[in-house]
Amino acid sequence: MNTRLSPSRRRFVSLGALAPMALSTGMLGGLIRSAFAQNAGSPGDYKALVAVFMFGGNDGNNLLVPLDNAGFTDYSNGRGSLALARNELAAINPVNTGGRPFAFHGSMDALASLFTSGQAAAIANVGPLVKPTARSQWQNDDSFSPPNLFSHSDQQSQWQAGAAETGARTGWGGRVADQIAALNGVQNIATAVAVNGRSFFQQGTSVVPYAVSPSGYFGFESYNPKSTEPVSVAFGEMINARRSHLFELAWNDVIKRGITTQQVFQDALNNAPALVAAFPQTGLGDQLKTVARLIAARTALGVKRQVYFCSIGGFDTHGIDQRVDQAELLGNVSDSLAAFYRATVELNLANNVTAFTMSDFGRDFPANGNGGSDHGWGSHHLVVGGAVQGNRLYGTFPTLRVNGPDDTSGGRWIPTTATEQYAATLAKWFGLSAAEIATAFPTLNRFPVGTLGFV
Amino acid sequence: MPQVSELDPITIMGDFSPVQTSTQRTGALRHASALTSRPTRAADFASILRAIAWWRFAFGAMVIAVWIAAAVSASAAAIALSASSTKNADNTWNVRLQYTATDIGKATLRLLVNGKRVGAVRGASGQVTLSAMHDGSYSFLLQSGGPNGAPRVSSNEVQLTLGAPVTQPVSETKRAAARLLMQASFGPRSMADIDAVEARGAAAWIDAQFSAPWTTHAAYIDRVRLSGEEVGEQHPNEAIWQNLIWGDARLRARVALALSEIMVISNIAPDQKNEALISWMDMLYRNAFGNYRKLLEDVTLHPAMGYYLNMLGNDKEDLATGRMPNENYGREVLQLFSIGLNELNADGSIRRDGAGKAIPTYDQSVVQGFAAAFTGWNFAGNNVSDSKKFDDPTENWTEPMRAWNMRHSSGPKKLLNGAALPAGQTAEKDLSDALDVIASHPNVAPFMAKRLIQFLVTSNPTPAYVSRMSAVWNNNGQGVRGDLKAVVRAILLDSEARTDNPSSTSYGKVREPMVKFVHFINAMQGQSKNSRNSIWWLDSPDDYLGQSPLLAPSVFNFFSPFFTRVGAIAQAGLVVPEMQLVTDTQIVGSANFFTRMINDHGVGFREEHAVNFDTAQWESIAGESNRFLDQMNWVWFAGAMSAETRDIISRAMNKVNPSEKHERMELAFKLAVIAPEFSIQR
Repeated sequence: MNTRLSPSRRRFVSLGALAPMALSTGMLGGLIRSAFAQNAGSPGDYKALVAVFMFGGNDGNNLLVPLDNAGFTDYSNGRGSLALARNELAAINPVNTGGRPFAFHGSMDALASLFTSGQAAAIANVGPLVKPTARSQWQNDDSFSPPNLFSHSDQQSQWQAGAAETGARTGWGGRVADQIAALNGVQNIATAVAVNGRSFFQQGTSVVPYAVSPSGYFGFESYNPKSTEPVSVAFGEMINARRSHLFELAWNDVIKRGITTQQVFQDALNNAPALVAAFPQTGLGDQLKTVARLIAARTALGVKRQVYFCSIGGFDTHGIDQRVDQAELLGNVSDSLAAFYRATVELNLANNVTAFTMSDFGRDFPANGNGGSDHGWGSHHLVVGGAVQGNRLYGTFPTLRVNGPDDTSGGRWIPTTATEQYAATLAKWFGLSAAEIATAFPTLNRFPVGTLGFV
Repeated sequence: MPQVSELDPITIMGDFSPVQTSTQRTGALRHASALTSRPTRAADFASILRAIAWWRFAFGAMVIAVWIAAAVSASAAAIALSASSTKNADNTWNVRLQYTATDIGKATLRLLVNGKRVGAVRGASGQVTLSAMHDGSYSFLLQSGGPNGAPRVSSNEVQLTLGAPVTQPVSETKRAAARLLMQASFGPRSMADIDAVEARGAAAWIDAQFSAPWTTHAAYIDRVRLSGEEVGEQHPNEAIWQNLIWGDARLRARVALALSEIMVISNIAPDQKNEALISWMDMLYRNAFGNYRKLLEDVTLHPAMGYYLNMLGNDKEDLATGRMPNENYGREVLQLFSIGLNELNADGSIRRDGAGKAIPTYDQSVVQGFAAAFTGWNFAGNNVSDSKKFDDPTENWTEPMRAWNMRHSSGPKKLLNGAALPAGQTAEKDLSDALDVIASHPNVAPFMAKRLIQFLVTSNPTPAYVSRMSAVWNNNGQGVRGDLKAVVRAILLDSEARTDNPSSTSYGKVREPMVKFVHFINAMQGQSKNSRNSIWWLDSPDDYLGQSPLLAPSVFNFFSPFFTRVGAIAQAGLVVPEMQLVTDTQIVGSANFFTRMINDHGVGFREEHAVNFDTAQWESIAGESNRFLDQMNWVWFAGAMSAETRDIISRAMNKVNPSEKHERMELAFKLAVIAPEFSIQR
């Protein structure tokens, strides 16, 4: 028996959001051909956005903690059993908060270093918003509430869509990629790469994400287009045979796409420079390492602009394990992002790659009956990269009080920064013009400030 | 017998009726291998020549030109045959056969077309041209009948398809039986399996399945312990596969698996106890043909679910700190296990208000009401009068949770559609009432019925089909709501399930990887020794299936029932839920997994208890492509193998010598696993 043992299942990998119907009006039937751009150019011409989605709803209240006396008192009193002590935190001193100190979760010392040296920033209290929302408005008028708030699948969709609406058919990563895809040549399959399953985030009107396995393994064992072996020849005939059932056609289509693009990526990776930077041996570490390797192979892939999607699950910490789970998860995020940054430095691309986090929602401020926390709304997020205006906290940090001015009720913060503002800032750095940003984010004009300047 | 001499043109008589390849699902009751050719009597050239005049008139001129080259070889007796075709101006075909025979001495070689002898040639190598042949699929074989009883030597069988492959009608009742096995189990296990269903009829087979005995997953674990092994996290997986693959209660297994994908717990973290998973699966199997209300209660109180969605130890509100009851289960039980987010019509469509907007079934206050209703529960086997035990109970992962009433929220609770629980009820009463409210909501019927249809039969049922099943859900005929047995029976016996729909481009569904895997192991006659196996977690899309029981990525299962695929499918307004699993990684990884199993002739994570395949039924007929493909058509494809697929596989097989049966068989299997007919159930 020659079956391989399964790799360890103790990886916190998630297959991603279950997307609502994603309809494209683009011409996507049949095989997507990859065409190589004539010249991928100097480092200055290349940019990559790398999304890291924390599935389940990360408790941002323990990601970023105020260290001033008043803020920390509010925090400690209000969080109950979930409050971290000062010695469980990694202090930072953002230069734009008028001296107010903050801290990251203690596991995130690597990220705190990056923050202090200016390569990372935090954005406070981000989330889906229908429009700018004050507490009284939320309490009295249903039109201020995003649909299905507190539902995992809906909030994941709204974060990935970049708008507080149901029935979104595209993700903002895909729409942003749509605007610049022409820089990569005709329908370059490497424009949007999902390193952990397929993501709705990268579904554009014409851009479709290509899923790459973090194990880096490609290829059907029974098929080699150059082979004359009977099984290989017949494999080729089978996937090209005339079919009429829509599902059968789609089946063949997926196989054909897999074959063509597998070769493209395999060749590119085989010829790319090796990396020295060491990544954590976790699911997210593997994913970001794969991203780094693919970025190293960008010339062979013929890309100037890429959107990547990575993800990690396990953040839905309702129960008593929250403290332990978050320590591991956030440590993983911190170490993986730091390793990834080092890899971009190695590639001389630190200013050309920006990584950023997203999550379904934050979590309730007070601990719940099980010592964990339930679904919240606004949460704090991170951006990492050489182009980031780091060592700063953007947005408005909430007042950490139940029934305070930022609370819906029960300690779920009403976001003060909308997902589209967060996303548009990244899109602007990525190279979209004002008009292109308006196209990609039709709801952005509901908010007074379009972009936030953190990168 | 006349000698064939060089350059003598000879007319071969015979109606070269094409082999009717594959199957055409029509009303005609014809067995797959029946040929419709007129009888021929070409026993030898003499009779051929005598018959020339008559046949020539009937079928047009067919001319054979035979060139004989003197060639003698000293190697072992073998005949190599090749063929090529050219199209004539009148749309008929000329086929040129070329052969080289070694070490056959002076044996005469019989030419067989479609299994029938049509002529003979002599000599070590040469060419035969058959002219004016019509469209169709033909197989050619040269066989030596050696003089003085020398063993018969066959050439390789060459198949040519001239023009478009022609489909062939199959037995309608056999097709119906095979389709039922695809819908009501994991697929046909063998020809005998299909025959048995055909003989019994759908309704009787289904009814027998309702009372088929099944062995608990707990019993599997007992066997593990009895053998002296320590129970590890692989064993619940083994127990589950054991029942899915070898159990006699096949419909129960199929329904229980579907229920596990609606009322989801997952060990993906992994953080569930072995005994919890075992007990959970046994609970689903027990409830598969029971009543929904009981299923809902058993799910709600099972500690595995209590752990997964936080009802275990869910404490009542604390007004001093502002801490509220945990909402996780209260939300997901509504969104995913019973009614969904929006009001539904009985036909499964979304109800719209006067302004055309969907109507939410509940809001946050309702979730909070249910959350409060579900407070106070924790592990069984503890003193429920002792509040401290609620905080620190002894674990019990196999029995339903029990209630500590002093930890139960005692206020009134707002539930669905204006229903409310009054203050002061016990935890047990609140829970029972809350589940009653859920189970009696009008959404449950279309929500659950449509999900079951999608798991078993077709992804896009007609609204009328859903309506009919909703009606059965609401009243099984004896005034009972939520009778799962009645609904499953109705789903499978409804005309929309039973009717074969070969011309539809949208009827049917993509089969889940787990289902195909079980089918494949059965088709390979995978052997379980001592009722054990060593099949574990197959959820890695790189290396295995990308799906494995109780290993969904989240409570939202492996795929969304609303998933559609950009392009023609979405434009047609169709959903194709299982395709959400089919990523570029998974399709390669799972195809390679099947290829590895074919090469290895088995599967297993450990050599002890590995499952070996017994492919004798396949290998024995692999030298005859038509017989082999007939069987493959039924057992792999439930009679739905297309002409294209059959043609491709048979030509590939026939590139390999008929004596190399093992290689021919493996080649056919590797192609079958990627054939669309294996992955799409119609």
